Amino acid sequence: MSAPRQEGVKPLHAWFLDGLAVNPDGPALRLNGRAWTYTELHRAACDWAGALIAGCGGRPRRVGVLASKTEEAYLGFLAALYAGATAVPLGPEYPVERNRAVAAAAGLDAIVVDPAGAAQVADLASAAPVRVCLTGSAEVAAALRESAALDGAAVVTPDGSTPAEPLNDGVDRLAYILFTSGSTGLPKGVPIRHGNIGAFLSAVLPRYEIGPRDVFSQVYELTFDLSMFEVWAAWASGACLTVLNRVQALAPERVAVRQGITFWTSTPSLAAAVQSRGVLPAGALPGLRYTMFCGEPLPVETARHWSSLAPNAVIDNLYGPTELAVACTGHRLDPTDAAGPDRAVPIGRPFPGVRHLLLEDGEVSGTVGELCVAGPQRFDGYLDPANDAGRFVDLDGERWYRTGDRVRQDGDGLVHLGRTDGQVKVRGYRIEVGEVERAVRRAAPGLDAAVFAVPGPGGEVLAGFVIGRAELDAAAVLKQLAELLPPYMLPGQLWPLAAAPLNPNGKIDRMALREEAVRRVADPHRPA
Amino acid sequence: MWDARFESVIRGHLPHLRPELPLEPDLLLAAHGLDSMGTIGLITALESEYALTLPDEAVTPANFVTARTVWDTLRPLIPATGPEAAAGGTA
Repeated sequence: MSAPRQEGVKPLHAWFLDGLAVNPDGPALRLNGRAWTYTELHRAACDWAGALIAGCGGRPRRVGVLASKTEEAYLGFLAALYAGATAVPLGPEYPVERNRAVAAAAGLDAIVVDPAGAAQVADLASAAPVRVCLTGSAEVAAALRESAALDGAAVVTPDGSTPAEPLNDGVDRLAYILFTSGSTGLPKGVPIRHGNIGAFLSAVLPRYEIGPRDVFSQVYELTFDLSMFEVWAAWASGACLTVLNRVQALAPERVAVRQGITFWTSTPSLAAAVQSRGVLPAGALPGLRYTMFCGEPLPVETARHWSSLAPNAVIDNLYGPTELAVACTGHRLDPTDAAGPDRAVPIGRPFPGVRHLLLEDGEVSGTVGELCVAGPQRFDGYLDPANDAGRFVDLDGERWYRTGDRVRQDGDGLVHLGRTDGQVKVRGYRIEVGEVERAVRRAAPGLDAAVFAVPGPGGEVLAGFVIGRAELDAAAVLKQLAELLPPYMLPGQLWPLAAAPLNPNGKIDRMALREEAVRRVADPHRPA
Repeated sequence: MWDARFESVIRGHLPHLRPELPLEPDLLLAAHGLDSMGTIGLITALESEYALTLPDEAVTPANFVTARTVWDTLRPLIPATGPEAAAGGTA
């Protein structure tokens, strides 16, 4: 399926080359005490790209990056693009069954793997036409060769013997494919073109005065598209990307200060978790120049607390689904904004180039409705076209992506009102509760399930009922669920229920069950 | 293996470990209630107890998997000044 080359589209890796041009000897990446200058990272990516091409006997098409916050993650992603391929991030902590489904759907012909991913790589390679497996670790390479589990795929540790210059015309026009939770129970592949992510970067970078002296935090896994902002905004500016693990990310007062971080990207949940620690004094993060919030609604209270910690930071609230390349609207927080205590910060104005309309009951509305978006950031459709059903609307000769988010037009800005479907956000991750319920039904055959996102002590949590039995070994069901779902989709609580309450239509009364779940999470000691 | 102060601080951050049960060196801390937030609290408590600062590169999930991994991370950093600290460092 080779697509025609798009003339004039800047490939994603060319944004890294911009950083290389302005800051060749400055740090591009800091990771566990190691640092790479732009020149070093560029040369390493050329070596890795060359190894991918040599190993595949030609340009690879889809390169899986089975790595978590290691050199393989960053070099693998960059090298995939240099080699003219599409990068497909995979989480080593995700269940192997899910990663196999992704590998097969994406048709991976190469995999870059780190030590954490080594255990899964043979399973993934057998699900896709993988020709070569790259790792920076000699130990991982030796173990994979010894196990001989990778039949047909060469195991390579790049040695710089076949460097390749960055290619500007890839096999297809895609920069990356991310997989999100799907209501049918299978992850949905979202292919993003170089033109989509480039339009996002062109629109978002002018919001900030950033350059080689800036230091970006890198908190989010490459499987979550918020990371695409962290990585590419830093590299496009010649700034330093500083990788933080999940414990460090919860203690910005340690790492942000010691690492000299100036740009902090965060989900509102992470900021709320920092706030709930309750020990940080006002002004604890004086070096932050910017904080970008994205991924879920931002409570005014969370924004204000963060602003007190980081008094020198300009705060931006961005909104957008993966399908629109990270974010497509933004609101610059004004400290004098008047707002009630539980109101969310507006999602703001559409970015330059982003066209939007509101759809209410099939009609275009001027005030409130489902946000639909067209323009250069809009993806072309899901990897599996079956997932496109109902997600697009054709109007005025234009194809609009239906976000599923209800918004209100407020002046020239937008306010987020909620979802039109079963999608929820937990710690910034979007989750289709239908996918979790389907997994519960698989783990507890013969029983039904109802799962909800409900308020917990540190933000929304997943909790639900297994319906059809009064007694249940919930721990055993949860253990089985861990084989089917990534950690972020696992319910924190599962309660057995002999029979579900029904609504007047004879359907499970989800409203009543949700209220019960809210009560039980709020007071775990209350008798069920 | 470790001193009483260490055991007391660790136990204080394991809400699901019953007091009568021993703190085994390879007991999985996450299975007894230590999450990422708890880990930050544990780090702060250990730093305060031993009057030291963990370097950023020691603040990793891998160093907080079991009581043994925490102790192995901490022990080289404990200043061997007082007799109690010295005893802890060689136990």
